[in-house]
Amino acid sequence: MNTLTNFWYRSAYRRAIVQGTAVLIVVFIGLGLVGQLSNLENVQAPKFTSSPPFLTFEFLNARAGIALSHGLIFDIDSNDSRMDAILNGAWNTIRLASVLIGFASIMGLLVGIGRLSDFYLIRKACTLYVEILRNIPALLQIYIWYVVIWLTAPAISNAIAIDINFFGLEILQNFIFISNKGFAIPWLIGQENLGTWLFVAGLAGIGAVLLRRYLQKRQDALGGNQRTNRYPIFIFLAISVIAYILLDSPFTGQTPGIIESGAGGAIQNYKGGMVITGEFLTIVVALGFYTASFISEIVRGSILSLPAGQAEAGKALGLSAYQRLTLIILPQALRTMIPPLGNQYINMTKNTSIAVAIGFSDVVFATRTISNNAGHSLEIFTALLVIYLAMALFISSVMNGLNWYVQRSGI
Amino acid sequence: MSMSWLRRGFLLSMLALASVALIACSSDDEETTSVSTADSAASGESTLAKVQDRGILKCGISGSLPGFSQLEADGSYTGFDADYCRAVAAAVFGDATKVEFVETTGANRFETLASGEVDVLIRNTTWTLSRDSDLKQSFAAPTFYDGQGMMVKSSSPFQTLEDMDGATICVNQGTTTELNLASQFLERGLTYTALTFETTDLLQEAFLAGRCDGWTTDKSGLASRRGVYPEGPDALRILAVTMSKEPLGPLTRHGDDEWFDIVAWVTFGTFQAEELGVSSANVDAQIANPDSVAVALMLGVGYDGGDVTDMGLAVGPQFMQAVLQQVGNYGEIYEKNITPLGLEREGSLNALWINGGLIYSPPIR
Repeated sequence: MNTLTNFWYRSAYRRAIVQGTAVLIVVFIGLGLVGQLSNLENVQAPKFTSSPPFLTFEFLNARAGIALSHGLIFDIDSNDSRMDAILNGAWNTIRLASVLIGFASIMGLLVGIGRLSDFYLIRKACTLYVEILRNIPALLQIYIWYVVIWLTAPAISNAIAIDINFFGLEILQNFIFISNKGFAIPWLIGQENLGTWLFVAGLAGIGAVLLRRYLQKRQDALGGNQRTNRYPIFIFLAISVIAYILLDSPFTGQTPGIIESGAGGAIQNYKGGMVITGEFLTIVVALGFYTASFISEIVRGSILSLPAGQAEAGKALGLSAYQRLTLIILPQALRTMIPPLGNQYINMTKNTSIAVAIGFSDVVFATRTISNNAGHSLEIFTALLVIYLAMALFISSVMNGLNWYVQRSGI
Repeated sequence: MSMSWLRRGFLLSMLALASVALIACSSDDEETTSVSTADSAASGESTLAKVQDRGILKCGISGSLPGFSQLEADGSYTGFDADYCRAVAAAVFGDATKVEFVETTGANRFETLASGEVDVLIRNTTWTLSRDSDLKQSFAAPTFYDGQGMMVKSSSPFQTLEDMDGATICVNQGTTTELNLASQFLERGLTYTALTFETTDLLQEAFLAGRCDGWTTDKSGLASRRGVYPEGPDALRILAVTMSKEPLGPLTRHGDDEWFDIVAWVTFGTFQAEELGVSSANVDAQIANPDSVAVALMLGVGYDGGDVTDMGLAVGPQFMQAVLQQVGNYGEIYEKNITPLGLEREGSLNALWINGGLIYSPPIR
């Protein structure tokens, strides 16, 4: 009896029992899931029909039969394979997520700092922004931006054209077009020597960075102003421009235009430049504003976590408000900001999956359409799972690296 | 000393316990799997027995497609597809009200059927080879011959697809519509941009705003949306071109032929009844005194005092009686649900074969 009570009262045994039970529970659940999976297999492929084995992806090589739009670099057409359609959808998702991360970060930073502003109006406006936007579901916000704002833009036949005039001098006509088909903006078009030029400019860039490092060391050793930024930038620009001229314009600018097609020219489309579709823009704005409301709270919290003495010391040294923010506060606040920021970026990337609601052809759209026509939902969902997991893990590893760097050295 | 020995012994016994549990589980596994697959088609338990045990038919429908299946203010469902659900229930239970309607989306309908959540899917679904073989489902018989159409604004100059080179087309997601659209434009050497929406309401907003030049889905769907268009039906025009064959009909899971036969022959029965002139109005009189041998065979009664012929369908020879009494024949179902959409039956593929259409039943004998 005594040994038995001892047995329970020893922490080592207690731990072993608790952990052993936990392992058993996991094993049970795991087996249950495996059982469920084989069950699904039966549903998908009844035993009496000849069917390919479980989880094969050969069907992805077949012709997709659907076209995807909203592509930036390439659109696929219906003759491409299902695999291409999924990859193109994934590329659209990645593109959307990267623009969103940049946009939401800047918005979040501004609003977060704004909430700590000394100006009553700015402070209250930023508070209002956060409290309204983070409390309305993201999908609803996308609908509102799309139906109430974007769709009220003029049709392409009445597209707004923006010209650039300089003191009455017409420099560029029809520089930017705006209609409910989207924005058309000027863009650079690569010519045949683009690769060579990029190589030369890349080398010049590496050289400039090395030069800056050298000058910085020299300045630390000798003192005085060694123009650590001016010389490297000048050298980089000079080499790039000379190479551009020597290589016979490796890229040129292109302004957008509108072409007509169809019966009586009733159909108009953008041609040239770069077209940012209304759907893409709507999601960037809607999800960006939404996520920025969360990011701004992270920014504000991180700044408030610093001791007040930091800002006061800056004040005592006579630094301006801007200098205090960029030299003292933000570099230190960044250390606490990065881990929760990573969460927000991952959340936002996964949230792009609701973009399909307004017709943006992302990876969810591509996989859903294929599975609806070809079945194989288990395989399709596995592929979707792997794609989103890869994106989230990538963001997470970048943020961890950044965190490690900032923790070690500061900025 | 003794403590570390005790601890090691304890851990070892935990491990032993775990492995025993593992083995027990894996031998258990067979059993649990077979129990849970009893629900699915694979185990071979008949859907009919399951439906009869449950006492109600689970029927997958759309729920938001006027004319085919629509949720009414009082919680009931109306429409062509909903009536076919009722017909199957009437054949199984003799009571057309014993239906539980399960709303499905274009994207999840096949999983709903495959997982056994519904017994039959009647959700204006197009019969295609890949759905038959790849998705492992069986289409009973087309109840409605549709075709993909293109709707444009009346004010636009478009008459044919060739007029629409470069157009932006609004499409409903998750249908064969996208495939047909792609191949029709590809074959004609035309370019287009598809803008694909999940919900028809948002699609209509985009179309109203002039974001798209055309709107494509099955012609029946276009007609039903045209009827409720905010600017009035006259603001829209459906082009003459038919881009695809869309035979719509009920479907069941692969592997249960008995259940498939019931769904198929209830469907054929409604065709046959119209052809023989038996409707909900005169079915009782026909049961009492059938006009012809064909009518007697269909209703499962004797002709001129003769014996009843049982052709072996699992729901008995009289299955069409309740269907016709409580739901009606094909013509009645069409008249009630599809005609109000403005889709004329006469001269279309949905006329009886004797009137030049495709509605044809194999003989019931």
